[in-house]
Amino acid sequence: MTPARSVAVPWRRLAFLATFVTVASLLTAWLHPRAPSFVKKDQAIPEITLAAALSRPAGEILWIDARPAARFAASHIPGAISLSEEAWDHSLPAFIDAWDPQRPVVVYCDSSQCHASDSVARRLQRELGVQRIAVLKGGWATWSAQPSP
Amino acid sequence: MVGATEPLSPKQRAAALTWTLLRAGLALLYLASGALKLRDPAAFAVALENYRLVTPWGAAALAVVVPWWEIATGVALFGGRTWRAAGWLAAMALGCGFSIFVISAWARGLDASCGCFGGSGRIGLLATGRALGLLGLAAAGYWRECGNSDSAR
Repeated sequence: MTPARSVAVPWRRLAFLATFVTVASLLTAWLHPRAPSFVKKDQAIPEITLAAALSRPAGEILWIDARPAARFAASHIPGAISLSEEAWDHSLPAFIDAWDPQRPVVVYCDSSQCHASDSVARRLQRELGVQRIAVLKGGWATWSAQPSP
Repeated sequence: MVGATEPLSPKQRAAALTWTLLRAGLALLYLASGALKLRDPAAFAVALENYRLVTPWGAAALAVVVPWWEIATGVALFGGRTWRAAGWLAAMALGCGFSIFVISAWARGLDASCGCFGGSGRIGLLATGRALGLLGLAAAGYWRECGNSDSAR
């Protein structure tokens, strides 16, 4: 009777796969237009896409508008609270009333070119210890570009 | 006759066909998953950071490595016997990694984006079960592939 044949651990095949994955990964990190950043960020605030935010249950997200008050008054995401650095002390009580540590907070400003949302998010994280916080990728420009229902 | 093997019984043929279909399904799943993640590695890195298990640099590294690892696993599972064995081992490693991330997030009550299959999904029992199921399937596949010649057809 022929003895049972078994396959030993295929080290050479695994080495080939590891080499392929390593080379492909390095090329991706170098050339991919959407490659992640390897540069260390201080107190990294994650970004959330509009699609990901809208996929959450309705009313779960606490939207924070970091734009100047005049732009907030003109138009804003429904339910958003205005909290800009210029009017921080005046607007903060409204945020504190609405905030729940279990509720994710998403901060937005005009577009991906502005930094106000990042600044407000970092300040909320630093001064109030808000952990579940992100900035909206593309900002108000992304929201307003949505087709009308 | 020297080298001749006995014909497979109907039960063995059914088992072999089932395993072939499972292997092909798993391979296609990994190929699709890797391709979807490669569309936006930066978004996948953000999802990995939300698990709070690795540093931002680690998340960025995993975001470029994991998709290619999935693609390589999928391709290997379509190959010859030694390639399939390597594919099953690579799938087990992926399953271990996914399970650690998902179970850790579930245990800590984190509401992180699943980062599964390139889209967003909430962490919960389904994601945990899926990760453990894939790990179990890969382990069973490797055991079957590297067992005796009767079971590894």
